[in-house]
Amino acid sequence: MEALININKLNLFYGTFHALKNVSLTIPEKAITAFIGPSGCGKSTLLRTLNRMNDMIPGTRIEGGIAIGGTEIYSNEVDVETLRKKVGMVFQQPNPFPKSIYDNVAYGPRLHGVTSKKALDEIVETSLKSAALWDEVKDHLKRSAFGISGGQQQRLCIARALAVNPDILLMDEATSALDPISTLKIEELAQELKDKYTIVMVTHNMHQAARVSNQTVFFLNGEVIEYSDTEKLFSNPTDQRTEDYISGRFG
Amino acid sequence: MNIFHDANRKQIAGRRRTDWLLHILFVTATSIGVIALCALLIDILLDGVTRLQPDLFTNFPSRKADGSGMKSALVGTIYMLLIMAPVSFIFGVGAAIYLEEYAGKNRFTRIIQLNISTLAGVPSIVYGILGLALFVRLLALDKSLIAGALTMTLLVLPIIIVSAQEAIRSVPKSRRDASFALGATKWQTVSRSVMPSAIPGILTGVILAMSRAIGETAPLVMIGALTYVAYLPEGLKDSFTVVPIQVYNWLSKPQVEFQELAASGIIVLLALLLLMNFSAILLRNKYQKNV
Amino acid sequence: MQSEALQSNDNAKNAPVKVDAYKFKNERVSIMNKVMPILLFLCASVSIMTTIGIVVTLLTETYQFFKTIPILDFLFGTKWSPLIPPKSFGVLPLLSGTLMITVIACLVAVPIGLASAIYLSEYAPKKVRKVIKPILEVLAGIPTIVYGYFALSFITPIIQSIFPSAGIFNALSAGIVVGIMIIPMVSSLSEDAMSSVPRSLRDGAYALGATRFEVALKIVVPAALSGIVASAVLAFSRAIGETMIVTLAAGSTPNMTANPLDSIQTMTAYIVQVSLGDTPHGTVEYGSIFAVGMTLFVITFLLNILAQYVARRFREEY
Repeated sequence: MEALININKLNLFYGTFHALKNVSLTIPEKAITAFIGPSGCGKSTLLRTLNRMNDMIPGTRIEGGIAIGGTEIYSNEVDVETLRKKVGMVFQQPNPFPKSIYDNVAYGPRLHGVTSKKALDEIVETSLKSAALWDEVKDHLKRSAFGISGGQQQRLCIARALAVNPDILLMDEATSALDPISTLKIEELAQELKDKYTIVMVTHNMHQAARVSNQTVFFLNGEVIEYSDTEKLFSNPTDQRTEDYISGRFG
Repeated sequence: MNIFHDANRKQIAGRRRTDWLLHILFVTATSIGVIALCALLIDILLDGVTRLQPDLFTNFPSRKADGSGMKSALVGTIYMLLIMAPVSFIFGVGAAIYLEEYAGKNRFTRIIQLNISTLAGVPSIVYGILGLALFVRLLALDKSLIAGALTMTLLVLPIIIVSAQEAIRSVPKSRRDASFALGATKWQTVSRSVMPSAIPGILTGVILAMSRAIGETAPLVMIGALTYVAYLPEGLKDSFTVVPIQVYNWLSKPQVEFQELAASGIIVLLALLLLMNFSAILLRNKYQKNV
Repeated sequence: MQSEALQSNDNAKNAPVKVDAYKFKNERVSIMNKVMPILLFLCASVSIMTTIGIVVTLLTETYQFFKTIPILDFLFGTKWSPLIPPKSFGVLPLLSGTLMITVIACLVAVPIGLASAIYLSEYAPKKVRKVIKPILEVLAGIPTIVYGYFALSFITPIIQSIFPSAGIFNALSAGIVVGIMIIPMVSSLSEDAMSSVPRSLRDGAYALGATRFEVALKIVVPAALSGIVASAVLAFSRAIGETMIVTLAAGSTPNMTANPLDSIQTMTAYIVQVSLGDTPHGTVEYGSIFAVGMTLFVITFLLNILAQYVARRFREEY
């Protein structure tokens, strides 16, 4: 597996708060990488630097570098809009727009200049199929996105992210607001999607990381404590703090 | 392998240009409000500053602009405030306590609540019509200070009730529970536990409502607050005038001198408003620190 | 109450220990507990009585008025000449004058107010917002008589220098100033509606690569549309009821014209005009105040109900 994302000595400050400390990390292509750690450890912050969502928080300052496919994403040659097109994101709470199911999925392609009805129809269909939602909603695409269940809404948000044809999919605790059955469906979906996409997920749930990810990164207080193959990290951690965390002694 | 290679930088540059243009447009629109305010204040200051002399405060209005003052109007405004403030405080806060602490969640409560928000949207001149028919004619109070003050009380009541309700609602439930747990009755809890916490917020609302009232002109024109009063009201049933009506009177005269007098009257009115709003802000800040 | 309670404890100590020595009733306290709710209820009922007072007053006097002037002549008459014979009481000229002021005001206030709201809610840094919002609030707190002066002494001369045909009293000047007056209303209510659109919706759009204006115009404004429409309706209603600005700056000539540079008269300005003169109680002119007031009240009442309905009915669930 080739490394797609290279994070090099990354430091991030919110005002005076040092949120990420000297993080260096490589994330492999077409695999699932999980970020774990207790609340406030910086795992979500790191995730949100990958599509520069932190840019919008005033007072944020970044040192060090993040390269995706060899291109420095904080450099001038990258437009943040293109970056976010290439690096899709799914959030903790399902956040469909107050529009129809169809318009939700078509929102991104329309932004980026797709106008023909035929092309949009096609994108909507393939995206919903990739998100394993097509069969459930194909007969009422024009209905409000608020009319479907929470689990379906989250898959709709995945379809919405896939519709702009990203290479990377960030999932920020994407199942924490869902019931166990919906969670299972999303986990299965992630397994299917990793053949085509590079997935980075933040999860509160260690068992989820163990179940679905190929690589796991353990964070504590803004630092990366350990990262390795998921199997190795959970069966044979090298750092005592990792062992304490995965055995449930804190967090 | 640059994965951003296929991106259409031209399309994005266009979208960013639109964003930039709209940003400018939004800033411009916002500054129109600010500019209008500045223009208004400067216009009035320039016109009115020359007539802002002691005469303005010590003299009664007269036919000649020179030496004309608004003593009776200032005193009338203050008297009206002195009557309005306690009456509207009692009724407004009483209604707010009833709605927040006592009223059941039934149809009747909803009707009162809806009625209050509707009253807040009734044009002030309609209150003037009510005052004319009810206080001036029906209760035969004539064109008196008390008729004006009662009319304005009805006008500001909805404002006071709504703000007092907000202040009472913001008192945490735990404070009520603590009082009940010590064996206090409902009224004791309300009067000794809820009200002390809510009173700064309530007073802020009352002051703001009063500042709304002293600028109101139309309802008082309706009930016939006189435009030419060369004496001070001595009783509740005496006729009176107030600052905005004096200003209106001066404004309706064609001579430039009277227009200047009007402007200086407006300066006094605005200064009074500024003072009241400033004290409301002070009160609010103090209150926010203490909670 | 405290001293009484202590006393009853003392009694309990001195007397031989009996279960009924403890008093669980305190007469004075329970009287307050019974009387206060009634008094407070009376306070609350003042608001209902105000409404009843307004409606009854307007209805009885308007009824008297319609005994002399047929209601259809009032509603559909195109000539309003209450003081100069031949007297005529057709309300349409006053309605058209009011409508012209209101339309001009809304043309000023809705675009500017909405654009300010978008700027404050989506673009402005916190510090800028902290400065601008209080300034707009000041604008909302300025007495209407002051705006009237501003219209006469500042806006009208500007209009006259652009359009020499404009008179001292014209609808345009008054309309623009009424518009300035209601900008803060549109902007603050619209901004409230936009701020209540959850952050997560904006994040969702940004994460797809949207720029700020795309988030503002395609996500936030549509999601807040009901609140924005309600704010515009309320502003419209406020403009209809505005009195002093139009009395001072728009003139007193009931006039069915489409030319904003003409002098016109609104319903509110007419009411002021009549009440300034010494019109005796019981005359037709006196009654006409109430008929016009009734028209004004009904229109603003319906608009306010409409605004509340719009705000509630179309509230989005996020």
